[in-house]
Amino acid sequence: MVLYGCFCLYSCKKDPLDMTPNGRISLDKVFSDNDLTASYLNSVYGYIPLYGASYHSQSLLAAITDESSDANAGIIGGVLSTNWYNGALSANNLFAMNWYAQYWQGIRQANIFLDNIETATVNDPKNRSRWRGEAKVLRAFYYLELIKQFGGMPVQEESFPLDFDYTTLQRASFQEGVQFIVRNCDEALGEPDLPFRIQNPNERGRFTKAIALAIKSEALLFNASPLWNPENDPAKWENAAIGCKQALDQLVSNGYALYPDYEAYFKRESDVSNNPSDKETIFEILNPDNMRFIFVTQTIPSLAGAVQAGAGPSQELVDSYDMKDSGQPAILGYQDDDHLQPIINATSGYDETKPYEGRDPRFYATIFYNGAYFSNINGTDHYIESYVGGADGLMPTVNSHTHTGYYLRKFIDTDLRQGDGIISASKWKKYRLAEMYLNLAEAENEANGPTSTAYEAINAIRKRVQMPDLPPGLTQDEFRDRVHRERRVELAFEEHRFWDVRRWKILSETDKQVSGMRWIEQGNGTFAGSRFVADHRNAWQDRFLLFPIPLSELSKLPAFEQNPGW
Amino acid sequence: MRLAIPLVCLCCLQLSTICYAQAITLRVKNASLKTVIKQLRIQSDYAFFYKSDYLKQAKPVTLDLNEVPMAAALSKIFDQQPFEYVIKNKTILIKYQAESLQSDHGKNAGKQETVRGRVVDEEGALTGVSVLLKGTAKGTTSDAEGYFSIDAKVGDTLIFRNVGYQEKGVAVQTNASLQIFMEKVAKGLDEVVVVAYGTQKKATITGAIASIQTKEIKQSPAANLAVTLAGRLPGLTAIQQSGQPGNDGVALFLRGQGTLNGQNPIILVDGVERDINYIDPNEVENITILKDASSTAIFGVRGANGVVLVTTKRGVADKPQINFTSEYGIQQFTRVPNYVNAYDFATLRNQALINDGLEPKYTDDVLEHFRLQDDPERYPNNDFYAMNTYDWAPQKRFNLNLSGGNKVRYFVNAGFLDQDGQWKVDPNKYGDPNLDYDPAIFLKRYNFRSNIDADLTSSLKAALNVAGYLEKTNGPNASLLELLAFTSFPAVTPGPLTPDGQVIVPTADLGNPISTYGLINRSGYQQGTNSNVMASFSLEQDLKFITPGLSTRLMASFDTRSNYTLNAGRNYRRYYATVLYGEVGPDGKEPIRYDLINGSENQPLSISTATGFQSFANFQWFVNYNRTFGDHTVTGLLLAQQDQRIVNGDPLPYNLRGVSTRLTYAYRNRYFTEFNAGYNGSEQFKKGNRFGFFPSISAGWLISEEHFLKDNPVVDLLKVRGSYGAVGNDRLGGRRFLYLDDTQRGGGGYSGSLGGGNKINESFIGNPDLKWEIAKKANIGLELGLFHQLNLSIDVFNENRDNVLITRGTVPDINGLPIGALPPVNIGQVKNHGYEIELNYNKSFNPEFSILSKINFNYAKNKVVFADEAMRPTDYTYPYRVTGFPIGQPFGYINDGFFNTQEEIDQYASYNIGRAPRPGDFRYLDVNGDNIIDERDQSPIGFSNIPQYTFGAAFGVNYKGFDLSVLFQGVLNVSQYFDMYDQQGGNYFSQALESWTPERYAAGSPINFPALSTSATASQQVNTYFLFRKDFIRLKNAEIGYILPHGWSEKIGASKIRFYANGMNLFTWDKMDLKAFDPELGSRFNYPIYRIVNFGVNVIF
Repeated sequence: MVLYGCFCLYSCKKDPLDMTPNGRISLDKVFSDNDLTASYLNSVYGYIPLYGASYHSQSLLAAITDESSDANAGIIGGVLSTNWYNGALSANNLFAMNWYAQYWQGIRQANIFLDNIETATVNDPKNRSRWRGEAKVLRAFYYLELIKQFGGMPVQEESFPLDFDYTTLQRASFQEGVQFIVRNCDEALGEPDLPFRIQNPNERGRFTKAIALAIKSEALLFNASPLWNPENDPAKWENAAIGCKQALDQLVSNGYALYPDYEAYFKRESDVSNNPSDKETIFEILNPDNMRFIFVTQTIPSLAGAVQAGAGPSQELVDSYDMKDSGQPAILGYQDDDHLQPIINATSGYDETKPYEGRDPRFYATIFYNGAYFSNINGTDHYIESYVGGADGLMPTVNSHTHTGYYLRKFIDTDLRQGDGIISASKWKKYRLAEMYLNLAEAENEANGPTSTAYEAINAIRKRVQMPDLPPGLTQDEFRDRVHRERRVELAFEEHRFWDVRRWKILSETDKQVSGMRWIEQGNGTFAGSRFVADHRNAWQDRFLLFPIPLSELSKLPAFEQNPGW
Repeated sequence: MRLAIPLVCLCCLQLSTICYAQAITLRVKNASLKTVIKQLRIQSDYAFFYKSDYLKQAKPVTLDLNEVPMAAALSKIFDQQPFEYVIKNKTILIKYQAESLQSDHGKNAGKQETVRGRVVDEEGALTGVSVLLKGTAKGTTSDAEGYFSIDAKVGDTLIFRNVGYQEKGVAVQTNASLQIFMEKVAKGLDEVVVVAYGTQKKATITGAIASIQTKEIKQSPAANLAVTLAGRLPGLTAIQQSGQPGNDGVALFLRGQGTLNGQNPIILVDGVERDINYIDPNEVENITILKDASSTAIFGVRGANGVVLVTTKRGVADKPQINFTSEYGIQQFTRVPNYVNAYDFATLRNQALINDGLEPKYTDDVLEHFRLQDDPERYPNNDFYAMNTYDWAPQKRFNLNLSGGNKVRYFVNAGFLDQDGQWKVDPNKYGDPNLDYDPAIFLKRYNFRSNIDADLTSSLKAALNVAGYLEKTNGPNASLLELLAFTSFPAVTPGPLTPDGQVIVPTADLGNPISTYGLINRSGYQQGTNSNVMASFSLEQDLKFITPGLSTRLMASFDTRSNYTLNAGRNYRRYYATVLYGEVGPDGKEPIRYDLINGSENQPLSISTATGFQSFANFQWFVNYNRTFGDHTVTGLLLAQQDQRIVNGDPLPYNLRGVSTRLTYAYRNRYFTEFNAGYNGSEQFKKGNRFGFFPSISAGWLISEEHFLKDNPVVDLLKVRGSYGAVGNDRLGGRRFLYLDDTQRGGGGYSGSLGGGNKINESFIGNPDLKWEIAKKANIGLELGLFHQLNLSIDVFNENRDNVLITRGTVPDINGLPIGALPPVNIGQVKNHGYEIELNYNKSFNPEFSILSKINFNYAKNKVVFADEAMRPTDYTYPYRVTGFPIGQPFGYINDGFFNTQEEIDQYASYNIGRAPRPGDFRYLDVNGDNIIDERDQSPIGFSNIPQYTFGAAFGVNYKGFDLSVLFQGVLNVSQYFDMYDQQGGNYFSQALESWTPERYAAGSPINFPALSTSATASQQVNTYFLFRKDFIRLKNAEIGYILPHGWSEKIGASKIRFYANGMNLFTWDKMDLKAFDPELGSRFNYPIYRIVNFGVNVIF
């Protein structure tokens, strides 16, 4: 009977159904505390994609452009390249490319942060300005990445209330999106305490005014490009030219400059100080720094530990490098659809039997070709053997050998071996100054023709790699062609080509197939090369200019229009 | 001392006459009594028991009877005989007339004698009946044939006790043999069944309840108690989804699926929520399932998915009984994947390459070597499944239990289970001295239980249950998934070892360089130690001093479970092996190149550990009332309880509290009503929304007790009953405290310079208005018993589940919260309906021959009425994929044969589902007729993976010392999609031998597989072709036993020795096209289901 009493006592003391305290807090609490407010800003940063070698099975985005043919394609089922080449993209399945929800999550948190930052407890008033600026640039960043991929989206400055009625929500135009991005960037640029450059290594990766400028430049360029400017409205190009010029000028006047060594640039992590050696990088992806080890396993099969050959550069990319001495394009185009018969620029100095001689130095920094020096492997100097039957030979049926006859060199530290640990901390450069030059050259040419501004911008890029200036007197069309080539070469494998062919609306010209070069040993150390089709693709139709809005989303937004063709 | 054996064939003939009133016609003159009895047998279905030597003393019979009742006939026949007779049910016992023996009475009084006798019931000899000499501690038990002997004097009283029978006291009057007839209590109206928090007479039950007993449970040799339930209980679906020792995934569903959330019934062991899987079947007295609102309302907010009650054995006042069982079983996978051999693989791979327009990989010369197997090192034919699994593995089981007592009664059990797994450990370690560990898979479980009841005073009783287990598991340091996945290597893969004993892994283009052989033999080992103690203490005080019939009980339970896992892993050397076809080595053959996998080297073990702990405390306070006033019987139960559970991996304890009540009223044992209700609170909801009241009412009418039916010879039971009520469900998919926001500070923020590197995780937005799910359940039942042999029970149910807690499906991603963070709302609706039919037939032809059968057939079908699903655009054939369909409805393309030519493809609707179709790919129906095959054409195909129909049929025969029982179990309307294409790096199933090729098509050969390819094809969409019907009927259990004649067992002092053999999953008949997997298996990569053939002996002392 005593136990009965105990039972009653035990049960009456307090409500046992209340949650045992576990540290849950409310948003009100978050914004009434300086550190928690800062922590919230950290969360807003949490939606930046990884980029780089992170597209399913450590693939590069370049693997689904005409820059390369992925050795995994058709061999490993389910990877992005296999599905992409098959044209299997659908509104039901965006494969490894579905960041739609992720961007919106970032935008929501940025909105909540910006809603609260004015009244939040912030100990240092400078931080309030800086954090507000960062959140605005982040919001612009997510918006730009979102609308680049999916087209115009509702402009949302406040988080949706839980009982929001989505049935009448409509899409906004791309132009409205760009205006919102530009406004956010401009407001951030007006924040007195948002720095131009991160100088404290602890703050590595935080957003800056430089990033706001880069986003603005890119957004305006996209807005004026054929995909989003089908009527070719000159005002859009005008705007872009002004914005790109402003961005470049401000960056340069704040100490941004091209890094002198093009090849070395991609194999290092940017240094953070008030006067860094790397003045080119505007934004480097902070985490994870996966680039440094992926290319130990994703490289030539001769290197012990190599697992997959990865994205093998295409012959089309090889063909787009100019001749160093003449400064002229080597290949002007192709006579056939399969790109097996190149139109050789006779005056350039290009020799189809010795295609790797005398090319733009960026070629040698980007591509491993048959006979190229790799590095010293186990005491022996290794030269690439990508000829048929060679140690690194072309083998279209396995994923550890190239499918084009080429291997990627950019980003790869050839002295790094498996087990070496972290000796080469290269990171993905999301925005770098060279892009700003190229954006300006393109926008200026389209707005005002090949002016000296346009020439200066493109020649700055070429000067860094000791390429001759573009010849004076080019027409606007000729200049456009050179800008496109320059962009392709300078920014190869950096996730620009994928978006550029879309905004230029040339996908159906570039993405039906890619070719490679098959070298056959002729005895006595000579090789005969022949071009061949490395893979055919089924993702070039106009609908592939934009990604489909995921079906699950579309069915919840009845007033939303799906992108054309999906 | 033999009994006459009635003729089996006669008895069979009687079956056809049992429907008529039994009238006897007899015309005999000076016939022997034996002949007369034979005639009576022919004309009736009565059985006669007598000692054959009695009849020698019978007088001849002369009679002329015409259509008289049996009773009248008997009285005439025995009028002049020195015998008397007793009619018990359909059995007639013949014995000497008492008075003819009475004459000896006087001289035998007080004299110590050995009294012999035999105990029988209507089915024959009763084994193990305890025979106690009243007022002494002396006692014995009846042997296998029912005989006993005990020292007693005339005038003493013998007490006969047996579980399930009415206790009987018999005064010793002579030294002659006693025939003791015991009556079952567990029969008909007096049978007591287990209900929630108590027991009730079966006749008074108004809800839907079903149960099974020890005997049926023990017919299955399954290591897991839950497995033994399959097919036994009407309304219960038990699916064994994996056969992994110690981790058999048994999914239990009561009446199918009724909600989109947690569907598990709650399982109570001796009144407290506990795990069923680890209980020794020898400890279990009874398992009962509660299905309708009437039987589960008492569980309130937890009862909506039904309840499984496990009751363990208790001691009965008796002479001590020792029961020992030893079993040895052989386990074998029911199915193994039907992979092709090396030659077929190479041929099929070439075929795939040719289909893709690529060069074939294997030349004719190489193929020929594979075919001839003349050089296994270079042209291997490896069956990695066979290489890494044993053909069979043993399972041993020992059990010893003791029961008995008087004022303190006990049931003490100790059990040991030793189950080996089928992964094969290579006994030859190839001289690697580092491998001094054992990676063999086994499970050893030591169970114990001690259930003690004590009568402390005449009104106060105490009970203490202590039980638990210690479980040891061992195995390689690898996940099951890996082990299974890597048995699918192509048969052409070299291996498992290099000539100097290092592991070979498949070549680089297979992705992941490990092998099952390496995982088992070289990767280290894993040991688990799990222990569990469950203890319940209760006190029960009779409160008749307040008012008669009132009592109260308090129970406190405390359980703990702890787990300890030791992982000893090691790196080991692995090589790729490449046969350099086309080159010539020094020995004139193709050289084999072994390339070391970078970073792989032989290393010593490195150890890590993990521990887990769970605990559970429960307090229950009962007030019981039970009293009969004339024609009126009332009972009442009031229960208050509270519990707290600490679960491994969840930092916060689970709390529950509530009160429940049951009130019953019966009038004249014919009309019954019941009110059950639970009022309990769940921590899932906000204060104010927390407590809910869940009532149910039910009623029953026992028509067969009405005067117009009572004592009629045909219908012995007729009852109708119905119930209606509301039950709740607070199991909302594992998530907790859903009314609260879950915003927390966490580490791993983007920049260390912001907030100390922390970030704010908004993992969940709470919904303060949240409530429990409500299941409104209606049940109507009919019970019918005929001729004391046939019992039929039918239950029909309907359930509407409202307030189903779901995450809204119409909130787009644009809102910026991940799906998992969205607040759930009570807006889902599910309907579920169905029926259960149970048919029992028991017939005892004589004491030594009886048959029984028990058949159940069940149906449950559900429909999701509302799930807040976003509607797809109107050009979709089916705009909803959940709403309006049963839970788990698969969707896919409807298969319409193969494309045989490119022209067919060109003329057909265009495919927009990935790769363009090629000849040999599936032709899918253009369901919406838009001439495009895409998501818009996806249609509901097949059934969910929970069957709509389940049935079980148990049959048993007892003949003399032999017994035979079988259980057939089956399911209908159940499907599962087996993706057979994930084979670009693996072997082909033998179905691929009949894949589409232009040649096979031209030749008109059977085609059972789409054209092969080395990459994804248009055929690899979920479609009807590979959606397998998993319907099956299987011989789930079979048992044959033999009880040794008493004389033999007596020699070792045992009262009973029974040898038996039983088995599980012995034969399966199914509709699966792919015989590679058991139809019950949940996924390709689950541990296969096994069959067991088991031999055992049971000795009772």
